[in-house]
Amino acid sequence: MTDKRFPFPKLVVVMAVGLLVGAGLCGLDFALAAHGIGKSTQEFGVGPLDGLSLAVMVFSAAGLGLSLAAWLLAAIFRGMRSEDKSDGQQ
Amino acid sequence: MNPCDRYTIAMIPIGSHPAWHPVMETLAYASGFAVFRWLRGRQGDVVDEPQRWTVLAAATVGALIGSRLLGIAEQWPTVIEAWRSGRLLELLLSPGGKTIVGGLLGGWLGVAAVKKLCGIRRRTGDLFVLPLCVGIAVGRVGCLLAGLADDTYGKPTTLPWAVNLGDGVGRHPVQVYEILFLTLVGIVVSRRAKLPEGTRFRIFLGSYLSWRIVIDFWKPQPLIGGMNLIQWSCLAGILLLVLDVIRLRPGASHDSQYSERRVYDR
Repeated sequence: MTDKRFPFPKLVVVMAVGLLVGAGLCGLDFALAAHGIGKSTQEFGVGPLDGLSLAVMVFSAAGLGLSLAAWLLAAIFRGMRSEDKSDGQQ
Repeated sequence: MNPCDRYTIAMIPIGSHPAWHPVMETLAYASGFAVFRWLRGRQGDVVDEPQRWTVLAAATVGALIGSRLLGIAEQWPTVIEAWRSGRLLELLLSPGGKTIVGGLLGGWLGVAAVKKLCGIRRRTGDLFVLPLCVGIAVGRVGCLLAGLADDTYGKPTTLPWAVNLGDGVGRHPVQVYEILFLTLVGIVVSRRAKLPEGTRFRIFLGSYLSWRIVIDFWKPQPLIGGMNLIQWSCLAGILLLVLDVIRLRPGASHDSQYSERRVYDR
């Protein structure tokens, strides 16, 4: 299941931690506040960090989804190849 | 003079700000990972590096999903209100709302699922215990410094060590209690006693979930049947853990129960 050529698990860990940190940074406050939504922005105000955290959240969420999908596909592909090899040997 | 006033004067003021939370949370992940790397280099590992990263990825994604789900569910009155007003998506996408218990249970179940899928039979949790103790303790400093903005503050008290989080009310420093508890667990679990593989993680998980059932009575949270949702989740987690311990008790068939094989990656 682990890919020796490409470090999918490492990528997944980095993306997931990025998303966890981004969610903690209150990034969506920035986007929601632009549409007049959200109470936390009224409580604490929107700061320059919120734009950065929104970017972290969006990129890490997309990266996590993509890297998980790629990891899964790579595992399926490798499984199919190993099945073919064992069929050939028989 | 009100008898409580002397404690009000003696309250420990905490200069709280919500920005401390993400700073300390990030530091918590970093310090947890640093301890993990140090420990793995020192003690070795029961699985090789690619398998360890697979386990780590499963733990992280499971923790992400679990912490978010329970974090949102914990605020169930808000969820019901958002559902009624058609703003559920906004709530789901909103920041914050993560819980350590959800993260631990999600990570544990995620690892169990992926290990079964990949055929990893060794018990891999022991190496996570000390990093989790350190990471959670560092994160709790952020919870304390975030003050009332964070939903983890304690109930009012007149005890001399009550903290003032900015509203002038003396509260139980529940985050400090938890840091002390984690320090104790970390010391106990780090002792060099010879234990079956996976025992340290089970001791940690069982004691932390039990601790949360107790300490959450000192937190003002919405209750269902006398306990909050985190406490009910802890109870469910303990039941799962008991079943797991029964399944893997010494003598039960498990080829890696007392294995000494270790992998050292530098």
